[in-house]
Amino acid sequence: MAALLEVEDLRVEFGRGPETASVLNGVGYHVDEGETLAVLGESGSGKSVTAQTVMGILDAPPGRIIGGSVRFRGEELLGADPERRRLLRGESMAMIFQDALSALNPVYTVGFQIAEQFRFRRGMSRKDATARAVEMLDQVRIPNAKQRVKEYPHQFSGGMRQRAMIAMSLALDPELLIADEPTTALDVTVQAQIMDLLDELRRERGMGLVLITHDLGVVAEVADRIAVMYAGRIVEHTDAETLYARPGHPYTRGLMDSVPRVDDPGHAAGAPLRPIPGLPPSLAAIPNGCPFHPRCAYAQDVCVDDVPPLRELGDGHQAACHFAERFVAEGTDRPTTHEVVSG
Amino acid sequence: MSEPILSVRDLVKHFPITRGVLFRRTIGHVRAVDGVSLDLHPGETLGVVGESGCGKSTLAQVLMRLIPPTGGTATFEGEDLFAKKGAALTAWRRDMQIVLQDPYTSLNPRKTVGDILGEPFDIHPEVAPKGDRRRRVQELLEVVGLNPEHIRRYPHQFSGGQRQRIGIARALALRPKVIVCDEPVSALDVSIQAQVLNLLGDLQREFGLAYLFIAHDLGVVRHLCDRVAVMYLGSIVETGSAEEIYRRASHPYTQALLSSVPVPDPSLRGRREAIRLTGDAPLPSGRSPADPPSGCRFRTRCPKAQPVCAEEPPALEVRASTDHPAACHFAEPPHLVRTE
Repeated sequence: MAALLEVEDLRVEFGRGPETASVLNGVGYHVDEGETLAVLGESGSGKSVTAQTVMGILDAPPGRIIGGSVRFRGEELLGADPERRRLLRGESMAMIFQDALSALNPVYTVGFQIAEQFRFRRGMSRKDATARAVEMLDQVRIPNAKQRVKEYPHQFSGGMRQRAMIAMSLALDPELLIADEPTTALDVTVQAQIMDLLDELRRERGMGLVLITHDLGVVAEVADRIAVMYAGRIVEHTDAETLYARPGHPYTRGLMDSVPRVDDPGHAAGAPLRPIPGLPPSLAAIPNGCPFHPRCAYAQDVCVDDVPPLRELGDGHQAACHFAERFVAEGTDRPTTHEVVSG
Repeated sequence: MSEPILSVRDLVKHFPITRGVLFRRTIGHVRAVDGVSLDLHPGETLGVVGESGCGKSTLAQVLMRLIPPTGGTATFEGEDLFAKKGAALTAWRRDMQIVLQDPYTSLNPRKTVGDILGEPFDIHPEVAPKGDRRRRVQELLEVVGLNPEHIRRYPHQFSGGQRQRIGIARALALRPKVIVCDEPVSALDVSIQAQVLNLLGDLQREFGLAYLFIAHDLGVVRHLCDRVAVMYLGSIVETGSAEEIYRRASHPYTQALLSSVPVPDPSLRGRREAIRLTGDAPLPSGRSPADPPSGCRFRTRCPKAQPVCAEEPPALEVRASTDHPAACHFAEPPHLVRTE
């Protein structure tokens, strides 16, 4: 399958002088047509900055792209003509955000904001554009779309707003959708509806989806491939099954051991979680060697001295750890939960 | 089981909806908490789960005596909680403390950690004599896993997880018997969240605390809680031991809630039962909980709703098919409702 988006060795800094924060330190991933890549990471790991750089909406200054490459269908985007990038946005790649209320314009109706794209990009009349906006709202399963199209964002509930934003992002039929924490602000029953909708739309349209999230549960349910980020680097990259069954990076493993599971009897009855000790590093002072070594229970001298590169471990499984093979061989020792769920 | 330390019966909190500037008149009420009963026993953790707007935080505020109740009763160690005033109220506040959700806004940015943690002792000087305070504050910092040397630092010099530890230390200062935790970990990253959850568990064992643990994350609640109450639109719809709720949920709302939580295990993809609710819960303001559905409040989103649900509000009780109380006319354990 053709690669839709290729990001290579992306480096971004914020600020100047001794306070300079190295936010991205060589990030690379690719997304194919019709697949879901999940970018998993905690606050400050650089997952949103990567997406903003790809979309060309990075605030610069203070942000500064100092190297790397972003290619869409083989076309280099970094340094491309701003007009060309503007045309690609919406038509070829679109993005949705965590907080739909602040991403929508409060003084225009939802319908106007969707129809705007048809009017200015497709040269449609006001009337035709509004009819298309109603269709779009229908597609994202907003009931009573004909009426809803005339309402303002504040009249929508949280789940409805997120649906409206999805409708807006898909209006011009993009080939790639970047969803930045699309369900983080939503309740769990609504989150499930939105994730189902995104998955369905992706399948119908054969669209590539980059799902940025910190939620290991959401990732496990929808991702084809997963890139785990830590301190501005991809530390592990593989398919979903492999990542959860045989993580190759101790950080990935630590994340999994930190999540109390709704279905896991092993964690119930007060058995303590096994959290990752300490805090993520300040991006203005990333430790030498492996950025994870101060929090890593397995760190050796080599981890303090040498930055582990993202290495191929076989079958497309990549991890940036000197001892990745050992962790992969161990697998996860958590008790299987299949009986509980299917029983 | 021992006598409950906190016992709540039919608690109601309505907020008036007013219109007009000069002549304000009440045109309706938001029924944020509408008839909640629960018991909290010494040393146990009772989880209250529900989605936004279900009234769980209002419940916490009423029980902390931050806002007055509209109706209902509550007793703390057998004494009427809502009748306390003056010195008795102040003395009671030592016994029941709260940890808030947002560690960024719940700490005064102009005060040092020493001031923040010393303030409880200013209000209750009998707990620690003046000369002893610095030592007590440093002890507190140590107990919650912070460096006691950092007593002169300001909140902005700490990370989110560390600030939440400061919030916990403040709640612990007066050696309370009950701590109300209102979404204490939902603002934190996963790896930090696990650290704080373990800390809460350790403190409970060390000090024999009872927690009223309010959260929307069902995984967190399962991990920490002995008993669980599920709230929907101001009422408890199901309650039981963690085991009963998570293995044998019998209210359709609880079942849908559990089925909506994504599980971090890709091998279960497509193998878990998907119960999807349509729409959002009616909003706490505006048209809706001011004017909740007749009969059962969940019926507008319920896959099992029948005509009787619109007429008769179901009581929170144990039915023939269940082993714990649920407020549903058709409550039954999950294996009977597979709809695939």
